[in-house]
Amino acid sequence: MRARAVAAAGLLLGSSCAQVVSQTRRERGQLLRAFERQAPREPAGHRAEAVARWPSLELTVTSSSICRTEAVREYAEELVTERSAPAAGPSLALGVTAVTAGGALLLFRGSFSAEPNDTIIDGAGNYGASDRQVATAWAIPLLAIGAPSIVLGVMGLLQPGETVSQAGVDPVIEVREARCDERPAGGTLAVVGPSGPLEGRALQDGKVSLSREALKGTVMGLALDGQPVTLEPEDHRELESFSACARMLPLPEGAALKNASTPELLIRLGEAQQCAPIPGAGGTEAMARLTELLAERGVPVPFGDQ
Amino acid sequence: MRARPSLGLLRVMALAATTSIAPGCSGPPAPDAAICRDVIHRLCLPVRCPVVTATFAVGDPCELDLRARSGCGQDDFTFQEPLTRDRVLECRLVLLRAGLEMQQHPDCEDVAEMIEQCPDVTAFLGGQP
Repeated sequence: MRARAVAAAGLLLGSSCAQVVSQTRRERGQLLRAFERQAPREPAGHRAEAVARWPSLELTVTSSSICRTEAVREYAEELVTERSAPAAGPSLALGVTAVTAGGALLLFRGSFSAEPNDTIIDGAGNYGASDRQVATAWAIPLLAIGAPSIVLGVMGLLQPGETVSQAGVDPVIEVREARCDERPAGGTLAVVGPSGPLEGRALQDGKVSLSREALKGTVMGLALDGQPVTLEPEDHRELESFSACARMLPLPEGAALKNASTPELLIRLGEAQQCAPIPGAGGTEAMARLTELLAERGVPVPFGDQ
Repeated sequence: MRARPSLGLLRVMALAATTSIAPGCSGPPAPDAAICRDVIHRLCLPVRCPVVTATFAVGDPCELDLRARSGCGQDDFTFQEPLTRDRVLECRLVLLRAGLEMQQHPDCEDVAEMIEQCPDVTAFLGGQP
């Protein structure tokens, strides 16, 4: 009996937790304005242009920034916060039911028999409770739980509402990037080989002229005061062609060239082909000479007639 | 075999149950005569346990026989020293393991345990412990 009363009380108490739920949503309003703005500039690093003027390679190094232009559309936005207490109604209804039932049991408890239940004797030697005691045992928890349930239900019903706050939002819908602030770079430019930067040369108004000796080895790239310098593809090809000329030229004279091994001639032919676009270097003439020598030895030329 | 609570534990449980339930869910104390008759009733409920027949040497009607031996038949019966009401209630707890209802037949194992652990009650009812 007590257990059933406690279970009923728990059910009612659980429903009394009339929690207020708050939900916020954003509602986008009309377009207020559209405009463009400049974002903070960021360094874009160094870039070099290479022009071969045999027997030297002229490099022009520039520093620049990245300029970002943001297209913005500003909208009006409303933040709508809704508060609701979905459990308030059930809590109130169950509270009223519990109080009504408990009150009725308490009010009419006199109608129930006060005679103890003599069909049962508990472990302590007492008779079972009378009907009046049972009614009272139910009434008190029902009232004790139903009343707070009503209070919480009413509070929950009074709290719901809606608040609206306005704010402007300006989402960026497009970003355009462009190189800007290009200027001659200053510092010391070094050719980077397989073992790291080689001896550097100071830039004069962003320009420096490198001799064929400086580019005779394998060139991995360029560095300005330790910072990498980027090259466009065509400038990179120019640098590699010049470096090939520096390694391949001049060809050994007469007998020395004729006595060179076939693999050496093939390597020189490959570099001569790479060197050929450099005007005035003699790459084309070297190609012809090497091709002729290889033909005399009956070695097919892998680069064809180029 | 299921674990059975000891008499001491049953006493604690009964005390706790009494403390928590008594204010709202139990009636007035039953008279000694009613408690005595309840014990006899549970012992004699058909089908009677063999240990009851053997210990108390009863036939039918068992209940009337044991009431007459113990004096419980009188409405003004009260337990007399050295057998006290508390002692009888303590021994009765073993018979309540199967349930409080009067028509709830106790397990014969519980009946045997009661007879073994409560020789004074057994003797009071005219049995040979």
